[in-house]
Amino acid sequence: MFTPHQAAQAYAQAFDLFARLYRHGLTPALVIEAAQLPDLAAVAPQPYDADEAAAAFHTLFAMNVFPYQSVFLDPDGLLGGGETDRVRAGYRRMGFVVDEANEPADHLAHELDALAFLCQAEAEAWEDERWDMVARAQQLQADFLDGHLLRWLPAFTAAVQRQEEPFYAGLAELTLALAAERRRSLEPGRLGVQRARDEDIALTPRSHLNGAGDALTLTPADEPPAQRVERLLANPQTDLDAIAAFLLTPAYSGLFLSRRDIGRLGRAAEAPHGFGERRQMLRTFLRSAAEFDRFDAALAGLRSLVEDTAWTLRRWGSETVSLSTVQPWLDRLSATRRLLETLEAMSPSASQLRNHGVNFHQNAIE
Amino acid sequence: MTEQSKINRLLSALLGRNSDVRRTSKGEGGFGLPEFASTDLKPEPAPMTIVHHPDGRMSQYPPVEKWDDWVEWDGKLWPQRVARRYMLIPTVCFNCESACGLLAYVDRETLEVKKFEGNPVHPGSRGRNCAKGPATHNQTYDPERILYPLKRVGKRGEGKWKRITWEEALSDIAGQMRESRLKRRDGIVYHVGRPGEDGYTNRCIVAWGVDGHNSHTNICSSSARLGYALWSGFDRPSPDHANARVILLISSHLETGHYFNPHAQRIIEGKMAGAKLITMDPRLSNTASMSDLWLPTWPGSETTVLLAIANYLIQTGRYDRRFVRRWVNWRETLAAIRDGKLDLGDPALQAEIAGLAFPLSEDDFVYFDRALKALYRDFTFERAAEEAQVPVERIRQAAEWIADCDGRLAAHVWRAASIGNLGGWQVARALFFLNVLTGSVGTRGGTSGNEWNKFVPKPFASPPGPEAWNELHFPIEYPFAHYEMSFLLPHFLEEGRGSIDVYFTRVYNPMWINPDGFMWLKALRDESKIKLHVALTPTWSESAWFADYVLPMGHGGERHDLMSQETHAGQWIAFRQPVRRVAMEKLGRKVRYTYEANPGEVWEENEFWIELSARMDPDGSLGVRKWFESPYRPGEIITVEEYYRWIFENSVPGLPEAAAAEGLTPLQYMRKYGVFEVKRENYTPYEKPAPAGKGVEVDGERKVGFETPSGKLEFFSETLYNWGWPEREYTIPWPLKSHVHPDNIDVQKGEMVLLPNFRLPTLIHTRSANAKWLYEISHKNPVWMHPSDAERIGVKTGDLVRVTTEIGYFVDTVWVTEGIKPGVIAMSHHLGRWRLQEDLGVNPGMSALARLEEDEEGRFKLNYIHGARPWKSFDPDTERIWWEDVGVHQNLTHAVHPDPLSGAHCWLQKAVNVRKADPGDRHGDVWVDTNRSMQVYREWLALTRPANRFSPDGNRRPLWLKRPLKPQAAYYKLPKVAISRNGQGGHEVEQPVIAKAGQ
Repeated sequence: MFTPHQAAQAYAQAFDLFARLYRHGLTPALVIEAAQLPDLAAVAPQPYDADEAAAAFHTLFAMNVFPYQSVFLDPDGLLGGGETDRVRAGYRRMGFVVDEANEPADHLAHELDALAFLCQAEAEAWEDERWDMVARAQQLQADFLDGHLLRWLPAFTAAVQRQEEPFYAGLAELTLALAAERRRSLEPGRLGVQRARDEDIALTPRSHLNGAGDALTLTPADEPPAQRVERLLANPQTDLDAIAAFLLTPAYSGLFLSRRDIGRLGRAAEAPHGFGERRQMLRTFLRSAAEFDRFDAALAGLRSLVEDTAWTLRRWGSETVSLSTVQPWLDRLSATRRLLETLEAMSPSASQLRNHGVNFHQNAIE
Repeated sequence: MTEQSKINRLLSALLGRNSDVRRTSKGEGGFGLPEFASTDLKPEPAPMTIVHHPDGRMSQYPPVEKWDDWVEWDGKLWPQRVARRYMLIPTVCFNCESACGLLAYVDRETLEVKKFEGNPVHPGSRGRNCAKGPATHNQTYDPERILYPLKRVGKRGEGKWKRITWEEALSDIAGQMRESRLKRRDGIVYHVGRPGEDGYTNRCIVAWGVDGHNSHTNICSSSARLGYALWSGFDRPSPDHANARVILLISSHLETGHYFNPHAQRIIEGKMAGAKLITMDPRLSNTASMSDLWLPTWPGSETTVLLAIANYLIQTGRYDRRFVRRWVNWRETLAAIRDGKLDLGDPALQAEIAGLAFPLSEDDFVYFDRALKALYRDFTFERAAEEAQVPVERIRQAAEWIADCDGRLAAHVWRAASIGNLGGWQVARALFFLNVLTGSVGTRGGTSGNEWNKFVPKPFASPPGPEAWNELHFPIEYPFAHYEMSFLLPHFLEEGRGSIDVYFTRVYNPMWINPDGFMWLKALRDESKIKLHVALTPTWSESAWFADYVLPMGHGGERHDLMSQETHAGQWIAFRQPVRRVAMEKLGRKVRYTYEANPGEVWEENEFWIELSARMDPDGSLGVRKWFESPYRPGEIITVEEYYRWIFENSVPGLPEAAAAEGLTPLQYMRKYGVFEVKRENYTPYEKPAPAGKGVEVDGERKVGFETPSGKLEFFSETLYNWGWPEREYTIPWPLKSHVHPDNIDVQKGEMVLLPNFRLPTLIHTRSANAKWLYEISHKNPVWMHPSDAERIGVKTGDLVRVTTEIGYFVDTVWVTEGIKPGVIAMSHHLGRWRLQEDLGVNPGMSALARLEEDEEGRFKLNYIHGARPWKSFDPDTERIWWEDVGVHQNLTHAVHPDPLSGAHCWLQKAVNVRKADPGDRHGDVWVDTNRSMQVYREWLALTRPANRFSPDGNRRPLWLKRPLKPQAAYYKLPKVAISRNGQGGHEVEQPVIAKAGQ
């Protein structure tokens, strides 16, 4: 095992390496570094081709799974909103300077960099025997993991794992494991700080709202997912587009549907899904499924996606991360399950309405 | 838990990798990235030294009292607060000739250098530096630097080296020097790129008793030097930019080049105070873009433009008649007119002057005024505008400003047009004519001679000039060369004019920097012509590859030198120091040789030359050793400290007193401040009363005057007249037709002018390739091309073009820009470094790996295999090479163009063809036919008027002209054995009799 000092050093290196992988992809320089790590070497593409690797990286993170906290946690599912600001505030608190020239603050690479920065600071504090600094660096790591990274990493990882890119599937799972393991090692009593100093600075277990009173904290007004689904179903304005919008918002549905996911759903359900942005694709898919009698198949596909994701998350909850980390995602998924079941129940009428435009709700009620 | 063990495995792997890196973070001999100690002390508030910049910014420096013990936070470790304890040791930048001050932050415990900042007490740079100064740190910790003496194994150029001891190197080289010196006095050559010091090494060469100094002057400044020397005896100008009313720059060479920092700050000061800035340059340089007036003159037309301005001053009477009457040799000029030596183009006036009663009275000055009016009347603005292809209003505007300058015209030409064109020395002559006409000579805001503003102290003993004349450096064809015909050395060797026994290249890369590099390749490879080649260099170069010994030398913070530069109208002297050695001594450790403090086994040159010279003459029988014996310990070999101690104690006026006032010895004072201001101002020294029996009479008083035959400023050059150049276009300021005159360039046929010699202020010729920081800023040299030309040949930015010169071609990318004159292409001369072996040679991030091929008939081919690449070293920064294009080595394709008078290599090249690259062409391709090289060389050689046919006094060179390491007067005599020649230029030069005789 490592000394806490070595551990901090090693985590700093790991977060730093992973950040670079998420930022640049598997470049020729990074493939050499990755090759030194058996878990990554095992999933690295063979033979390696720089152009292929660059294309895979672009397809995955620029076209399919967007590696930003706000995409997963912001109710708008858009970049640069409240979540991004929260991340920025988190960086400010720890003194981490983020370069947003290329990517906004909540890009996964930046978040991993921030952790690398904190681990490095901790390592140096160990060297300097500054126990107060050690404790502070650890506290900041725990806060950041709880308040930011671990809140979305499970859903992100689940999404990446479906994308048929073995390297990044492996990398993402390893990232989740690394973050979770780091968080576990930061639990009080596991750090060796207390032994080294007289005064005990406890690691206060805090919520992600560690800047209490901060205007940028998450609005506690978030309604429970099940309730949101009920409200959606009860709303007479709810149509297929609204359903699509719900499904496409991970903060509600618990699912992240990439282009590739939608394409796969379309092929399985034998309904056209069209091209373009994800919302467009999903709308086309649901509408055409409704129109061409494939709505049941479409719902079945979505259902199985929900079940698979929930299964994966539950597994991580028992093996990798704490159950409390995956629980919010399981709640969302179960609400989505309820939505899909309701739609399934309505399905016959829905399929009859192929000629009646988009107002699913009204048509379904009539 | 499986996950946990997986993560542990991952972390272990990372830690293992980490410890590997740690183990190699210091390479062999403990060389690696610097490490610093932390201290429990905390930075304390101190009254900082504040330097105000002209643009309103301020810089703060630790006060001098705190330099020996300065504590500050380590900014790199923020947000941690870690204090470091330094000693601030002043030194002098070695990355160009300006000699700006640097302040090294040396860790008091580890003795590593944290950074180099400006020295606020340095009167030249005043605390400021350009990018090249702080980059000294990058060079010091360059992972590729050479740390140990190396000796060639196998054939020259094969790339096999072995490490040897200094003792082996010193005794073998000294032995060969001794052997050569016993046979002759021109067999040892010291070829210097950038001296970076004043006089130390020259003294050594003279002490060896040889005529052996060679330099880079003739690919740089010789035409400007001749132009100024013919007027005044001094060979370079020193403009007082800060106080000028008009600043006139022919090109931006110095102002964005090697006098960049001290000049640029003073130009801006001048501008802030209202000065007008005028720049002549076919290229929109940074300086041109900052100018009030940009004159994008056609190359070679500059003299005509300057004379049109002069003519305007003359015809309108808006020139300083009093100054011209007092200080120009108008009496001698009128006598020359009388004698028919100078044709006025006005027979009536000529006859009138011939009828004057000589000696002339002061009132006869009007005839000179009339003569000037007659001579220059055809130089109209319209004519100048047409030749230069610039709007006539701009020339008129320039003339108006200059007419109003009130004796404050700061003007400068160094490389640019003077070195670019056949007859370029007339550019300097015409430019200084404007200083003369406006009375701006040595005045506040005017232009001084460099030696008025430069202080070179005498050492403890000066050996007499050599009793020899080096025919390879100053051949009889070039009696006016300023100075050594350095770039023709390989051509001379090829012709069989001689050989070299021991050839030192010192921070000099002749094969890369000179035109016609493949001729150098041939010469350097030939062991019968260059018998021993010793390369003194901190880092690999293309030329060092062909050396027999490669000896590592120190950077700016690793050596002693004295330097002074004419940065402004004052005098100062600066002391370069090995900062770690000085820190060690201040901390009480004894240091005998600087290499004990330097990384690896890097010697400082001063000590190298002392030891080498002593070994060359162990028993004193050659008369060499005595010049290296201590003035303090008779009979014993001098130490470097004693050498400078003597100078500071005895030959720097005011220094002993200033030191005493602080309770220091003069040496301690210089170790502390690194600089001493000798004179705050030094205006119009020629007006001072002359010592008895010297000087020149002006208005009834004996004045110091100028170092010319007449003691005055020479409008008409009797010297040129007497030495075989009697035509008017030589004897007075007059345009000479450039080899790139529009008559010689047929744009319709695809011909263009290649302007190959502009500078980037962040690079150091061939010396930046050991500074990644500098290469990060600029690393490629695309061909600048005007949109109209680009359209004509059908290329756009980024396309490859093939530029064919007189002797070969090169392929480079093109940059289409309005910033260059149509018909002219431009290319910076810093870039295009290459190496022949993947893991040895010039740094991989700054050079291309190349393949070099030649055929049986003297044709050479260079092809890039790949460009720059990141590489692994103890410095993680070397893995951050994000560029591949490191430029193209254009000089290889340049034919030599020796100006028949100044001996300058006229850099502008006739690009006989510029076209879109052929399908098979690749970036970096170079092809040259050295048979053509020799042909062009002979064509230019034929333009000379050799001393053996034209010398009026049997000398090789006018005695009054400057020459480095002037031989004794007797050795100026032409050889008695006739130098035979054949029409083909294939000279058979007899070994000069004098050199043979000199034992």
